[in-house]
Amino acid sequence: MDSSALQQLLKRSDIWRASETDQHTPQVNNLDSGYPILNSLLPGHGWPSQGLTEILYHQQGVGEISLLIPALKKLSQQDRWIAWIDPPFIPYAPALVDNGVNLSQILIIHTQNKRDSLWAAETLLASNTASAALYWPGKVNNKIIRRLQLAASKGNCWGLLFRSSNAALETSPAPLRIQLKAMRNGLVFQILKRPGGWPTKAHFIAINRKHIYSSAQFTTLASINSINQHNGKNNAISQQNPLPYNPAQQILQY
Amino acid sequence: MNYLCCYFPLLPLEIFNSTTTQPKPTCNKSDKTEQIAFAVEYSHKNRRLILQCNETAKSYGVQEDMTINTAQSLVEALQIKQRNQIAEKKTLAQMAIWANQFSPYVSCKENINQNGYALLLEISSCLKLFKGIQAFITLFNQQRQQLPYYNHTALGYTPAAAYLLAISQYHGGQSNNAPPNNAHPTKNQDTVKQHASKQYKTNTLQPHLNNVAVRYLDCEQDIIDRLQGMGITNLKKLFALPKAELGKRFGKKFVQYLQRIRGELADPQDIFQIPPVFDHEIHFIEEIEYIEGLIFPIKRLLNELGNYLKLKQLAVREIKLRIFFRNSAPITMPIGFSESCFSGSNGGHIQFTQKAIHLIRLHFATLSLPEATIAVGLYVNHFAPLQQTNQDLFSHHLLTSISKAELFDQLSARLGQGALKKISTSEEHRPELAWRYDNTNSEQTPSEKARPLWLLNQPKPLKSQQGIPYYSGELSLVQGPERIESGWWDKQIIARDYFVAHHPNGNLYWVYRNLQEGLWYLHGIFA
Repeated sequence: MDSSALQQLLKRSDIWRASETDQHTPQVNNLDSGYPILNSLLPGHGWPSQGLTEILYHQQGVGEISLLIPALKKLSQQDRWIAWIDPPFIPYAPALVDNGVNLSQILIIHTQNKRDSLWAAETLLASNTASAALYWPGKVNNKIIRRLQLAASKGNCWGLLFRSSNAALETSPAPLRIQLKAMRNGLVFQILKRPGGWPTKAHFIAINRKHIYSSAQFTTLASINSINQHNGKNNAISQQNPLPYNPAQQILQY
Repeated sequence: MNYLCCYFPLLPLEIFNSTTTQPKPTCNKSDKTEQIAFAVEYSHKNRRLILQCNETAKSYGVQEDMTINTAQSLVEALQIKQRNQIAEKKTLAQMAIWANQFSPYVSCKENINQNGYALLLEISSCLKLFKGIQAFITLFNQQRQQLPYYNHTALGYTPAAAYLLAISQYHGGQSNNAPPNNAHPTKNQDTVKQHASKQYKTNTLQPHLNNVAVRYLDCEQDIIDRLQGMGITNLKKLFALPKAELGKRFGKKFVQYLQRIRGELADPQDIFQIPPVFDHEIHFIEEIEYIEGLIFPIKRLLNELGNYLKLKQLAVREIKLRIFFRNSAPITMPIGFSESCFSGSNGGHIQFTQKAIHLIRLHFATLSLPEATIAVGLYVNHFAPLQQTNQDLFSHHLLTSISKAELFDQLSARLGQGALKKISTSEEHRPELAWRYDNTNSEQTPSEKARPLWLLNQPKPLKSQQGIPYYSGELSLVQGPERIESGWWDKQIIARDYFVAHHPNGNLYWVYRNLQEGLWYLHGIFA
């Protein structure tokens, strides 16, 4: 490959170079996630205000809602919907109020079939009237995710796709993918994919749930390290991660 | 030039095929003969006679006042419908609502020559608004072309004169040369434009009135016969006669009528009142089999509703759409708007129609017609006061697109009313009752207790060993108990000890022990 061809390739907007990672991070004021460590790893130092974010986990209730609660609290101050499409359980109103979420912006949508749920999700994401849409889609393919991603960026909406951890093995058009694992007094997250950055190692976030005063304050740092060490370079979660730490391939991925 | 008369001579015929202006995908536009021969009948002395018929029927030789038998022998495939006077009057009222946009004083005339209808508009008081007679006539003609009914208009100095001119001009020209009832020349050809400027400036209507034949006068046939017998064929000759003599021969009433025509006597009109509810229907001449075909007539109904709302300065929260079938029961579809949906501004009208059509299409997506439809109706019983909505100047995402409420409408139109819910808290100790699906915004008081973000629809029974609950692993109770005993006043009595429990995999659960039976249940997840 001669150098001019390489230059041409590098000019493409969908190519990013690892060496420019931090300089090219857009300095927009993204949504504060409420967790400093998560902020430091997210592009723009916070949750994106639009586009899809995939949240992957093995089992319901790993702390996926707690992780989002500080952001939802802020978003609920806007006069835009926060839609929950086909949630697996009932979003419990007293707990949401305890966490400072304004219930008047919350919209719960239960659909009868897959077609309706996808239609509702796409309509919501593209409507410009929702600040966030939390969507439990079940099984979806990349074609659908791409459509939802387009809708979300068109509608200026933060779309959250809650998927099973099995999907971590597949690629996805969602720009941000985070895998979660439950931990005592918090959770472990690992960013599988993010704009302008490498996948990250597993990190622990302590979650202070309102009105739970757990006596056993574990030192979880040790257990995290043990996970990371135990699995060598890749940690427990990234073992299933299809993204290898190979810069050359990484460029192709994006 | 105070009055404008809009004459609808073919209303009995046209109410049945008002939708045929819709381009049909199946039939060739150029092929005019493809149109079905169609006629409206009436009964006269126990005989069924043709009241009016369309062009196709005329081309076969069908004429007005012909018996049904004769007509059917001429055209085998002649479609005949009973005259529907109620529908005719309803249609005239719709036209009156339409005309109200031009003038606040509209009056209806019914049963002209047994079958025609007319509207009289007082226009002199509104010319200033429309910036002169020319601009008014241009606008009026523009709007008039869009009406689905053939109409003929004329201007007159008095209501009676305007009315007389409209009828006489339609039915046969001013000097009796043209044969009466000569098929409509070109649609909505009008004399208004030609004469408007001249007449208005000179303020004379004499030359036009003079040529009107006496048989168009709105009086007893007997008087007309006698006048014609005397050789008085047009109004010029009639007006030349001394009033006293005319009074002696034809009665005071007739003289007063002539005076009203000439504006020498006041002629108060019954002003049309806009009905308090909106109730319009469109009957199809041919049944519509596919649901998309309904959109066109519904659009027309919505336009009429828009006119109505604009006149009354009202908004709607819910409209009812009803689709009628020959045999099956009609389908009624309430179409709700979560905010009063109509803005009084100029574009508001079109916006409203578009919004409503969008919602109706969403409703149609889940609807299947049991059979072909014969009519469609639009009803509004409840109105809301018109509110000017103020849009946020700075949030651009709101300006460029639909509002929150519109999105809510669109979603509930497709998914059904029950699919969309809002949640709120309620003052209650029992966890399953401390929240509810609700649209009202109740006050939101924090509970100050450990409460999970996920609540299970039904508490899930857990296995336990030696007082320790298991849920695919031993749960360790880390907080509690919180005793909730409540509901002795109704049937849903509970007595539970709630705990926060840790699962070995790190999940945090909300479990309780039922105090009566001692069993463990999972009730929530601290997600």
